[in-house]
Amino acid sequence: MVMKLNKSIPRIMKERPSVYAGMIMLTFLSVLMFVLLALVAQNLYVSKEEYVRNNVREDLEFTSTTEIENSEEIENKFALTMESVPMTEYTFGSKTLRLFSASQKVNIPAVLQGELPQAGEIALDPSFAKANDYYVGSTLEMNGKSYTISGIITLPNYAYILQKQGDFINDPTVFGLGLLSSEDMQESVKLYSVKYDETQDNIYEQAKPLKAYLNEQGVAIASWDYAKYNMKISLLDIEVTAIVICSALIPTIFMLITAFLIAIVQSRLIKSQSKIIGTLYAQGYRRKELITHYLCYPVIIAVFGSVLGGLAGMAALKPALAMMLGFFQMPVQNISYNPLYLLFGTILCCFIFSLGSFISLKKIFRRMPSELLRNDGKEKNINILERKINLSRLPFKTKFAVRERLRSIPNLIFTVIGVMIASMFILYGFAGDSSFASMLNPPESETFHHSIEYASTTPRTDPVPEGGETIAAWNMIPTKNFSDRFQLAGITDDAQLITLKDRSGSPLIVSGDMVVISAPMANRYGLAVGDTLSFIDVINDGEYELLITDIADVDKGDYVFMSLDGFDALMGWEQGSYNAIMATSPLELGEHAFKTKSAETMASDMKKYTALMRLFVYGICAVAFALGIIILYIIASISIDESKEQISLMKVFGYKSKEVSSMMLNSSRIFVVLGYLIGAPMGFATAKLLFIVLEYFDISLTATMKPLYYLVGFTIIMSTFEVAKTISTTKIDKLTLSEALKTQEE
Amino acid sequence: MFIEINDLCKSYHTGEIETVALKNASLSLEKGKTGVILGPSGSGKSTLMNILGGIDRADSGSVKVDGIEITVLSDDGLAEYRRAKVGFIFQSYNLIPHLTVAENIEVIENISKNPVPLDEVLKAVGISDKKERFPRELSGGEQQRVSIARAIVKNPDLLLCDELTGALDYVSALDVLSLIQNISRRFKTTVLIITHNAAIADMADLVWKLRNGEVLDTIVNNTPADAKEIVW
Repeated sequence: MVMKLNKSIPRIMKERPSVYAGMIMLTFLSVLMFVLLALVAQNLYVSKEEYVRNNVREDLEFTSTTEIENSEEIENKFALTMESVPMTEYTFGSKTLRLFSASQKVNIPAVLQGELPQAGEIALDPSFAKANDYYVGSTLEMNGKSYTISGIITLPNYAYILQKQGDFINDPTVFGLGLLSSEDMQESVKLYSVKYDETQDNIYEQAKPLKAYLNEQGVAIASWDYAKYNMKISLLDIEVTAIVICSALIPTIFMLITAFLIAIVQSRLIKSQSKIIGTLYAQGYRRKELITHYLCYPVIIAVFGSVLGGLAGMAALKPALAMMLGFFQMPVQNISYNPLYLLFGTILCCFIFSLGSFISLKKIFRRMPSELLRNDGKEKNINILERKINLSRLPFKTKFAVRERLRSIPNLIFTVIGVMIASMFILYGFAGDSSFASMLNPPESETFHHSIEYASTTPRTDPVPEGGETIAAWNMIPTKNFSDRFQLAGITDDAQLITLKDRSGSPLIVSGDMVVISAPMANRYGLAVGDTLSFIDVINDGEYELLITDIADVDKGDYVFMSLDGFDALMGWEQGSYNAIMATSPLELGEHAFKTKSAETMASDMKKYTALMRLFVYGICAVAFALGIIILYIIASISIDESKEQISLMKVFGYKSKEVSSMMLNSSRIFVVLGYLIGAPMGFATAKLLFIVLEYFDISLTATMKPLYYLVGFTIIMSTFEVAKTISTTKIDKLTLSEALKTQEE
Repeated sequence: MFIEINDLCKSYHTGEIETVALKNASLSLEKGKTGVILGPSGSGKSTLMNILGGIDRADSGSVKVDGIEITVLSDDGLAEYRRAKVGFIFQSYNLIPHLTVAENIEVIENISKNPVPLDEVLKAVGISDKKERFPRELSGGEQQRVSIARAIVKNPDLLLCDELTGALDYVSALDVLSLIQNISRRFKTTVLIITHNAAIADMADLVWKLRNGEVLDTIVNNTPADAKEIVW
């Protein structure tokens, strides 16, 4: 029925290319981001789950020099699977390879390329192979023997490769993993990997009987690590969780906001068609037919933008996944191009866009055709703002400019909301960047004053060189919050590099039986002075209770401070033992005993550690910036289109294009500023919200914003406004009187 | 009677101000006849035509067209009535700017039960050679012809013309009036023209003079003039 009428659709779109192309572009970008991130998240999540399940990732591992003979009995007794593999390290030049033989039951290696090694062959992890230019078929010299690279592999217990506990990041040029055939494995320790048939949340409690049994049997346990607290295993879960949350939250918010914005534009465009609608309605078209026709516009924009955006998102999936997999190692067996996200994005856009148009049409059809025929979709009533505001004392040009803005309250709201959204997106990205920067270069702490930390793997009692200060620190787990961790620190009463204050600002000197808890930790667990804190040392199986005597005003972090002597007594260490030295400048220490952790190396490690997250935030910020420019451009285009007639008339009266542009467009500036003032804190709040969500998943970030970024954001917004204004001025220049008159006639 | 209007009243409200557009207006017209409603601006003639055409509602009174009491019809009922019976010609043409001449007419042909073939309509209004042009590429007179063609393509029982020569020069206006007269004669269409131009009344079978919403005078013209002969 409305086929002939539909012919006008592409022509109307061609007449306002900037507006329609802008809407399609907005849809394209938001759906692209949504589909890409959703697919990345889905593929990473599914692949991770499959990897964990199919390759039987351990719940815990321990090393021992004792051969456990009754593995099968233990497996049956404790409902678990246990496998031992030989493990050794081989150092050649500056490089170290940690070598294993392939396991069969737990932590089964995933072959990414080639195959598992036979005698005389070796398989390497992808990062080490890439960084050192090894490939399948090339050879590696080890112990005077040449090994052929048989394949590239990953191990479930090394999804994130770290050489030592406490490391943040690995340098693949110097450390990697290798698999050898059992025939080629030299003398080595045994790495036992355990996977329970039914893993419980509190793996510590679950594993207690096993550990007790092994001790009873005289098994010498050299190390004992739970997967949950083993960063090389748990980081994969944390990163994937963070990506899934970011993918679910941010692009969906973006898509919803842009969809609502486009819905508003659609409804305005339909309103401008009131007279034609009135004509067709008067000539006998039914409401349903006209609604069907006018809903074609939002549906076309939604389908066109979403499908192209979705397909672009799908096309970008493979490189995006490859980039993500550079940060952690796991196989992605089958990339899923689940079309449901594209379908969802398209349906959501269709629905929201159409809703805007439908509401506008419903409003239009509330009026009789005769009214519609008299109306050209422009607001002719004098609104309350126009009526109430006294402009008589202002010069004419200012009065005109103010009237121009006040004429349409929806236009005002639209401008403010549009700028607000653009500002929000930009400031959200800046907040992300600022927060990461602040994490990498934290502001000077009022509690911690050291810049270098030397940590030891075992407790030490030797004297500390001048400039150094001893501390004993150990990670503990609160009994009631098994997923959390805090640091128990033993400090000397003359400590200078850690200074504590109570909540009133008075200094706290930790001595004797004092147990001082940091304020953030007290708040988190609702602890007060006089309460008892129960916690566990999962490494050594210690269970402790301490009576809280004070609360320290520490800006962030979960810490419990006690005297060094008290700490040593609690842990059963020799009095005066410490496991770290703090300093403000480098100390001369035996390198074999300590590892150095300076502010610089920490920052560098953290920068690498958070690279994936930052990449994610910057990507979103870049897309948001593009969205912002398009939004402002659409707003300016609509304003010009709606004021065509006035502009032409002003020209007829003798105004120059420049003067008209200035009167018509500059008056928006104040509302652009207003939009920014609302949007900027909202962008920051969005980042804060995201970080709060991430905190539930043990990813701790504090939202901060450099004041300079507010200025930069403001400059960007004003620049985009000026760009939009310049383009719009060109449009005004091109507008001739005859065009405006024709518009009136039509 | 094809059209029977009795005691029609209509007021508009703007804030607290009430404007009476029609005060107990009554008139009637037989099928196939041409009527002209004469009156100055604000006399209520457009309101009368709008109510008759089913694009506005009366406050009170009765309007029967071909036996249908249209004042009681729902919005959808009015749409059906307009679809089946009424053709509109507007002073400002109201063509769809993004459709060609032919497409503007086809838009209405599409929803008509017994449409007049497109080529025949184009020929009748004399714009066959311009059917692929867009409205902005036509003169005012030509645009009004398209508007007429669009109104008659559905072969309506009632053709309502609102100041159809208001925006045209004299020669074009005579052409358009003649066209309307020919259409009425050829398709037996009842035509109602509203105008402030008294000269047009010469071509009508019945003339009503309206002032301040009231029908002041009804003139029966037994020998309507040929539109081409009208002079003003």
